[in-house]
Amino acid sequence: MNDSPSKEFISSCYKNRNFVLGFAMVLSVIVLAIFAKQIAPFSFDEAHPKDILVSPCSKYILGTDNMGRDLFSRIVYGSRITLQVALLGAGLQLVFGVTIGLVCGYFGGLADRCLTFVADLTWCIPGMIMALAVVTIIGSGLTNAIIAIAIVNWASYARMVRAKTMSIKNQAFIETGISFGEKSIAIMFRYILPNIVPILIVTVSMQLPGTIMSTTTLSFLGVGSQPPSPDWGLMVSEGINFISRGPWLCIFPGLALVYTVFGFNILGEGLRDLLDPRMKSQ
Amino acid sequence: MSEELLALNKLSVDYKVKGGYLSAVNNVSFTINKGEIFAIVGESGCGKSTIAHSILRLLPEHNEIIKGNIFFNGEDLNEYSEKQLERIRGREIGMIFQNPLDSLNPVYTTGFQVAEGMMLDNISREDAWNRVIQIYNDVKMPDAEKRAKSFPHELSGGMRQRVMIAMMIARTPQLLIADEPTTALDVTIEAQILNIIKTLRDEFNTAVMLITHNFGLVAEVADKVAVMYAGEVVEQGTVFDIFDNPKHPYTKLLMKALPRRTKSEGRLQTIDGSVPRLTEIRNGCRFENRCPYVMEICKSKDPDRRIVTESHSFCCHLEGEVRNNE
Amino acid sequence: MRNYIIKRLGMGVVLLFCVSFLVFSMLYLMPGDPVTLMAGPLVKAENLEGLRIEYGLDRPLLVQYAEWMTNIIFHGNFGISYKYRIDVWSLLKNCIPISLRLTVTTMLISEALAIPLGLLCAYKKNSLFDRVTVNTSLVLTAIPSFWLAVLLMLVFAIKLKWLPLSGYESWKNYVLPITTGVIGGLASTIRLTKSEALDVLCEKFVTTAYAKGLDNNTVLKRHVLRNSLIVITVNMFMSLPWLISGYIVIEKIFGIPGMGNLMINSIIQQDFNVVQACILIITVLTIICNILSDIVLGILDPRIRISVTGGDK
Repeated sequence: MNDSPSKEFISSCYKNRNFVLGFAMVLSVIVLAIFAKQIAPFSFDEAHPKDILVSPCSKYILGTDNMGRDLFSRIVYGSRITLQVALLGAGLQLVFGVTIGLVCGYFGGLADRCLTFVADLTWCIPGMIMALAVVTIIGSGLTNAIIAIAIVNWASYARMVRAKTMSIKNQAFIETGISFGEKSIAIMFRYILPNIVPILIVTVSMQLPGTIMSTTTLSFLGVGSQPPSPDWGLMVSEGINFISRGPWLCIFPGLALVYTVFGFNILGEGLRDLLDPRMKSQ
Repeated sequence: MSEELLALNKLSVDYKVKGGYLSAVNNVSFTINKGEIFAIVGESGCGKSTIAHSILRLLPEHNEIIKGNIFFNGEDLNEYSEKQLERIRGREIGMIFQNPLDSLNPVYTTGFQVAEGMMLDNISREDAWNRVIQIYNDVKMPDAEKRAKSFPHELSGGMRQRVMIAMMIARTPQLLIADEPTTALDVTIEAQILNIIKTLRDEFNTAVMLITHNFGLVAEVADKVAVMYAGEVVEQGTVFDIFDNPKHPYTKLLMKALPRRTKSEGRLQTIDGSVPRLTEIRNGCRFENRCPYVMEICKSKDPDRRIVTESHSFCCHLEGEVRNNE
Repeated sequence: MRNYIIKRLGMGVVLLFCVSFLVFSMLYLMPGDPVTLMAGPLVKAENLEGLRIEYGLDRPLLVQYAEWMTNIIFHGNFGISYKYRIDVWSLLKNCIPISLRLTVTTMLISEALAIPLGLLCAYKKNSLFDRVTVNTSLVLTAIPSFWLAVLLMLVFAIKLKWLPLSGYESWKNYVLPITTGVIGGLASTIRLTKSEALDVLCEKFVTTAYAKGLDNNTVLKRHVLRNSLIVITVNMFMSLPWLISGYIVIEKIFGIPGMGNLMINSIIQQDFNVVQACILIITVLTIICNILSDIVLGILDPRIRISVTGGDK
């Protein structure tokens, strides 16, 4: 009796085609990142001055760039950066958004009104513009780009968590907790937070593709990862200079990015269907 | 005695659901005569709304299977094409829905929405508008001209239901289906709406199919009653048959559950258990799990229809043994 | 209705001042001394104090902000570009029309394609057409615009040689950028249109419309389309500023001298007055679009006109 809901959940996971496909795609990227050293034939910054702009062949599966670096190896190592962006980006957004949302939703009052105002303000500035502004202030670089995207995106988490907290905090079990003398922090993190975990997972998985995409775009624009980093966005932007002589330099890193983002995308759709049946009806 | 208008013959409606069918309505037959107010009563989810919607083929999901016949003036609506049905909807059969706010389009004035149906009969815009005002007066809409130019959200619940009624009687249909027309309204408004429905019957000889879970309402306006349980009509007859001489155990329990005027009865009677979910086809009486008089046979065999009088019939294996004073 | 518009406008003005203050204080949020940043590495340390006074940076922040705003509002003076050593406005005034023309064209084409597609998907839910469109747009959402632009360039400019690689003289130069922009915005609009139309199709008043005896076409046009258009139109206005920011990438790739290109180059060269001006203009545009969309919402949806609380969605 006890394990039947979880069993049922796992079997419904298998049946959800989006979830299975998305999970497999994301897993393949993770494997690539972990075993990059074993999979890639060369290091990502190992130049072969004699083999410049070689088109895909048996030695260099995807060709080489203008410095004679193996493109395939660079793409394999690039998966590490992409996953780093995903993990760090989502983590930062979560920590900021959830903490602020919980506090504002639970206590209400002035803090809450400030949050709503700031969140409204961020609505007035298109995300890319705000991210660029932040990067202008704190400087270029991958970490800074991730921080910039987190500053843009935290508000949507905070709003969601705040709304959920406000609806949960009036329920009876919270009052029970209060009457047992639990501290506010304990109530927020031990009573309320577990109740919003499912929708939080859905939100994270829906936001992840966007986070990866915007951070990569910043790298493409030259304010994210700096050379010689094998960031996929940066690689496409470097490849544009050789677009007629070496089109593979633009095509393959982009393809890798689309593959990853698409994987996260449908993984998110699958998770949403599995965890949040109310949204499924759409 | 009077002319037959609508006759359901062995109507069954099944919904396609994940992993099979859900039997919402099973083997329902009854007849509504012209100028008659026919009430269908039952708990929520017993299939009364499904019957109403399937007559005009208005079930929202379009995943249903309708079997049986729906004779309207002798023609089977179930055989009609979508185009043929369009000519019946609104013109021959009007339908009033439960929640009058959801049922009106928020972006058009109420007058336009009432006139919209009339203009299908090739009436000019002005004529239609004049007629709207006239009907608004008929349904006792205060300040008719102004209300016709108002949007639905500017009106109160009662006024919205009047709009809904006006919309559906605008083309003087022969049958009006009212699906819980007063559930969302205050009791005082309820009386007014019922009056309008009664007047309609008296003036235009419109038949009304009144769907409700409220026995009080039935006693007040209905001529005939069908009691539904779990998708089946368990008992039907005139109001007097049902109220004075209920035969089916379910009807009896419902009667006991009604609040009486006397205080001496103490607590209100309730019926234990709940309506079964009808995913699998099975034999036996559907009330078997809640029935106080359940017998062995009830679990294996469908009860036959037993005739009490010409107008009064019920479906139960018990016959006569159970008296009212039990 | 008039009160509603006035209230919206008032809120817009408040927002405007908040955002402009935020943009102005950007310079002061930066690590390091603004004078060093502005003057660049070539200026000697002993001259910095003189520059500080010359730029008026020794005064309180609010005073500087007030002066900055007055200059912008009354004189159209955004300051001087440190890199080009000319008036920022003279740089901007050539860029803004180019960006606006591009984004508006993109938006119109994109909506004209996406709305019919989305509606068709909703009406014919689960048909082959619906599934193909939905899956295609799912793939499209995973394609970053910079890569799409590169692919289009490769195919149409380099392999087929139908269109020029970059530049901004003839209409041919704008085909690829606009195509990139349109495809980029298509998927989300299709999804929005579809889900909105599906929502409306489930509304009870649609059943009422059928019950009245209206035929399928009339119901779809008069009741479903009209009601779904509320959200779709509002979204269209809201999406304009986002399109402009999306065009930063496209302008950079195709070498179009629009606002986005100017902005990203200025960020890399740390030309702060230009960056500030660009951000300010885009935010102002966003606020204007938000107000416009609220007003359009009020016109399209009679419920909003009464309760001034709308704009939640």
